[in-house]
Amino acid sequence: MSETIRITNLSKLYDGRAILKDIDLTIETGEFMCIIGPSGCGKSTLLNLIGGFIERDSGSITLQGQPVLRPNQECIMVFQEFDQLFPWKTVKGNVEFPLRNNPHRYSKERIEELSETYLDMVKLKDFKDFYPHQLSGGMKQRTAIARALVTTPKVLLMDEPFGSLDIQTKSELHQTLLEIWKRTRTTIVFVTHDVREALHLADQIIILKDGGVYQRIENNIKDSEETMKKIMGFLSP
Amino acid sequence: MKRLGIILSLLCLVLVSGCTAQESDSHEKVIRIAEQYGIAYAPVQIIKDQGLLEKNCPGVQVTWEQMSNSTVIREAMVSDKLDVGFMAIPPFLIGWDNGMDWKIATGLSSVPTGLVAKDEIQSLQDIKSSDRIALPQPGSVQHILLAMACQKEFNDPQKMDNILVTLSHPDGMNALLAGNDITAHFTSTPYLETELATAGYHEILTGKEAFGGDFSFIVGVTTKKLHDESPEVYEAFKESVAEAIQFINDHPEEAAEILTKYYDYSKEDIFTYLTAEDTEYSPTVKGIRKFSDFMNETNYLKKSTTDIGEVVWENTADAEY
Amino acid sequence: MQNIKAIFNKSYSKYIWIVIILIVWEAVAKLTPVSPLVFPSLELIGAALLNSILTGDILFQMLFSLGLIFVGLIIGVVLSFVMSSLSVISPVFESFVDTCISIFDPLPGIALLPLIILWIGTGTKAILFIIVHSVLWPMILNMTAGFKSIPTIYKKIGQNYEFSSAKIIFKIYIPASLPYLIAGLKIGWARAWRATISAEMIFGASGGIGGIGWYIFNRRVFMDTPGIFAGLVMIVFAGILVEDFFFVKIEEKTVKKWGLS
Repeated sequence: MSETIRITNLSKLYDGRAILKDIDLTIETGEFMCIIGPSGCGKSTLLNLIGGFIERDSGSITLQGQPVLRPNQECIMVFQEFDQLFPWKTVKGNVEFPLRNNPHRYSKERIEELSETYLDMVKLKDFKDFYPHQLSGGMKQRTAIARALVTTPKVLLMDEPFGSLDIQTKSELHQTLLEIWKRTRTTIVFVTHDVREALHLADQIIILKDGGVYQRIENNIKDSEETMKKIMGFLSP
Repeated sequence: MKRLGIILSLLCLVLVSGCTAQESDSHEKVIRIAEQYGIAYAPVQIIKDQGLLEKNCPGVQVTWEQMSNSTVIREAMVSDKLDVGFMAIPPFLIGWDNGMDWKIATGLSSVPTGLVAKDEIQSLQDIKSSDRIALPQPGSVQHILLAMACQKEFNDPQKMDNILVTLSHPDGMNALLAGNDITAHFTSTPYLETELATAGYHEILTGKEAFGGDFSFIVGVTTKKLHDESPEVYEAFKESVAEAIQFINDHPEEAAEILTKYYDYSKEDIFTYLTAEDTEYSPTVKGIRKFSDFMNETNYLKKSTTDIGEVVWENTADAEY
Repeated sequence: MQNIKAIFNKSYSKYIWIVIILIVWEAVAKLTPVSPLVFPSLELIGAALLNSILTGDILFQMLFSLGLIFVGLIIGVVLSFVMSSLSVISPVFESFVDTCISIFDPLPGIALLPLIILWIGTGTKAILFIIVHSVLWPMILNMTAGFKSIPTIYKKIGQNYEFSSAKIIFKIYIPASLPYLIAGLKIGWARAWRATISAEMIFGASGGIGGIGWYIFNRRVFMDTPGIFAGLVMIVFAGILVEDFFFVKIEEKTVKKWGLS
């Protein structure tokens, strides 16, 4: 396996206080990595640094050997907020949006084909002409995932995307996400504060604590109570 | 259905009460006069200051209403908010033509009026479609005088109608002297004199030339209601105007002193204006027929006067028809 | 009763009210002893309107006024777009624009008239100036509010796909703030009408046939009361037309459809 993202000596300060310090982390191609940790530990900050949305204070981040200096198409972010969809576009319009306006031009047929494929993957084919205000929260997040994947980025960054959903919808989306991951083998970096969610989804779990990588856990057996106990142990102060 | 009935009856109530509110008429002696300012209205200020109405009709209750132009005065007289107004003959004729029940009671004044233009413009012939002429409003005496001049000069009274800009005398003067798009201004004392005293401007047409003779610039008009229902108040009004005019003509210096209270000019300036050669205060009404015939021919009026009794109350002896 | 309620809930209830008002109007004109100079009957108004349409310039004057409003609104929209975009980008410019708004917004255009006469004159330019002045400030307020209401993640999404700033503005910011833009345009339209009518009443024809404000003013000085109402009818008619066939349609196609209203 080759590495997709390499983070070395990364630090980020807020108001002179280090929120992240000297982080070293590599993410292999095709990995599903969950980042967990207590709130305020810098999980979201780390994700935004990887995406290039905020500037680092020191250290380096590379994506396939290239330094990350600004947001780019190879690292697409999915947010927790439902209003990440554009209300003036239908589900299909939202999914096609990045293709239609892409600096890299797609043909009409290709756009049609790609949007159909990903709408199918997130199981929204029957809702493609709906406007966001007509959708449930789960459907909105499905649309957002389809939109993020439609340009076939190398990395999908997910910032607690299911944080505002009820348990039932959440587990449906977990299943869909895992299916998509198995099919596309996109590298996913997933931030959550829900340990069970991480145990269910990830094959690598990073525990972020006190501004650094506290533990890296190979999550070979999904939903294991033992790993759960272990992680809770790490997280307790 | 009941609710709808209530709503409808409330609506009727509002309408009816609105209509009857003004009907509460007491039979006391009342006169409501429009108060306008300017050299041409000097007798009005004298009447007010000397209490002439109160003297000539003891017990009369005088109400002075501040009004800015003859259109407002006309509308106030239509809606029975005013008994007496002062205006030029053309706005009076427009009201008469449209069926207003009013007539001229007295003449008041003639003051210099004329068209002031930039020096480049030597005559009406020089006025191009890109020029703009400021005057108080269409239908004003200035407008009709201009139309009369255009009739003579171009055989087309409406020739200038599309380059008119409606501005009050002071705004018109400022616009002319600012040197922007306004290139001529049809105005009267004292704005006329101020403009002519400014370098670069001269008079290309006087009111007298345009009219072809003398005419009353301002006349006093009263409603039929005042004339018929309160004859002693009407007589007192006429008497007061005559006395005020007499006073200005006999004692111009004293009159000027009084007028300093009302106008923003020095006593000397007012005295000069009052006694100027072209300024005349007189109860005689002049020029009605000519205005009426011209405005009828040029479609500013639908009809013309056939008899002086139609437009002047019984004192026709005071009018030069 | 239920039936009556149902009638007034419909979209055409406005027209029912107009008919009722007309009936009441006619009844007052006919059954009460008011002078036709004060309260002309519908026939007189209708005749005056027809006469003005057939022999006069009222339709052209209406078009002239609408043309002025159109040009004024376009200038206003462009200026307010530039000014509100800049004030969203730069805090320094924002404080400048805020100051301008607090100085100029409460100033009625008509109050500026003496200055406008001295500086600009009395022609079409002066009327346009008054229109732009009266629409600019409320539209800037609306647009700035619209831009500020855009979720910050929209910008992140645009950056994520490596869009140019122009693309972010036109493809994301403008549609995202459209409800505010439409509201601003509605206010602008209403204020532009008022400004145009009052400016035309003062400045007159200035070199042409003039606008509908000039028409009304002329009817007034020549004491043609039915003519005044004919002019008002035209203005009301244009207002309803624009409201019902322009703004309502735009809203149906956009904000209503998107669930943003």
